Amino acid sequence: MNKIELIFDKKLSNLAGYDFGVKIYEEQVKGKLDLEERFELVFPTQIRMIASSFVQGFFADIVRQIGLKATEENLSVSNKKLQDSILKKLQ
Amino acid sequence: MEKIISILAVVLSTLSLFATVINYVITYRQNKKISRINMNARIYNAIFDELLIERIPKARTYLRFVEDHLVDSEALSDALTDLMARILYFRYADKGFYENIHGQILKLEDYVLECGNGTYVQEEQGEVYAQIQHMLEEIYKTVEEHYVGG
Repeated sequence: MNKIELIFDKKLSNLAGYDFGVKIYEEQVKGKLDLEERFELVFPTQIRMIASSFVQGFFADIVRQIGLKATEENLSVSNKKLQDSILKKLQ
Repeated sequence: MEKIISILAVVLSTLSLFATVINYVITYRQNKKISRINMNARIYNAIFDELLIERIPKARTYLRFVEDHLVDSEALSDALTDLMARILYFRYADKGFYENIHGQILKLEDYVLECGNGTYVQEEQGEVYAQIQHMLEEIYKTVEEHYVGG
């Protein structure tokens, strides 16, 4: 299954910060997904909002590897609202 | 006497020609400036009007504290995300301005979302609102100054 279940501090309901996005990607995602295929990110249910800075940090390496178009096409997020938000914030 | 008159005529016609050229240059520059202002106005209206006049002020009024957490920030985050998408024009038209305002928007969104994670007693809640107000004012000021200066 090309899927990662992300883990965050349970006190966090919003994710913000470019460096924090990079850190989470490097600790929990990097090298663990086949980015050329459809991949799924599962966010804990307590996560309600994701800031643009976090999205840009988290996806920087992914976009570098497969490009923005393939990232938009291959990415699937467990929560539809978060998926829409991430897709809007990817640049 | 005739010689003086003919010299005067030459001087006057030279001055007249000079004045015509100056007038032409001034008019040309003014027209160019007006065209640029009109074009900028159209671009600014398309990019900023809806967001800065309607959506962001309205979204700001939604913010409130529940159990010492800042909530109902989705509308503001959405409006800021849309603003970031719209200002992409300036990435190519004026990169310095783009990077400046893009940084301010990111900073505000981060602050609002981070406040949603924290706990703020009543005395601190006023400071959070004041900081958001200050950051919004900075964004509006940056846009206004760029427009006037552009």
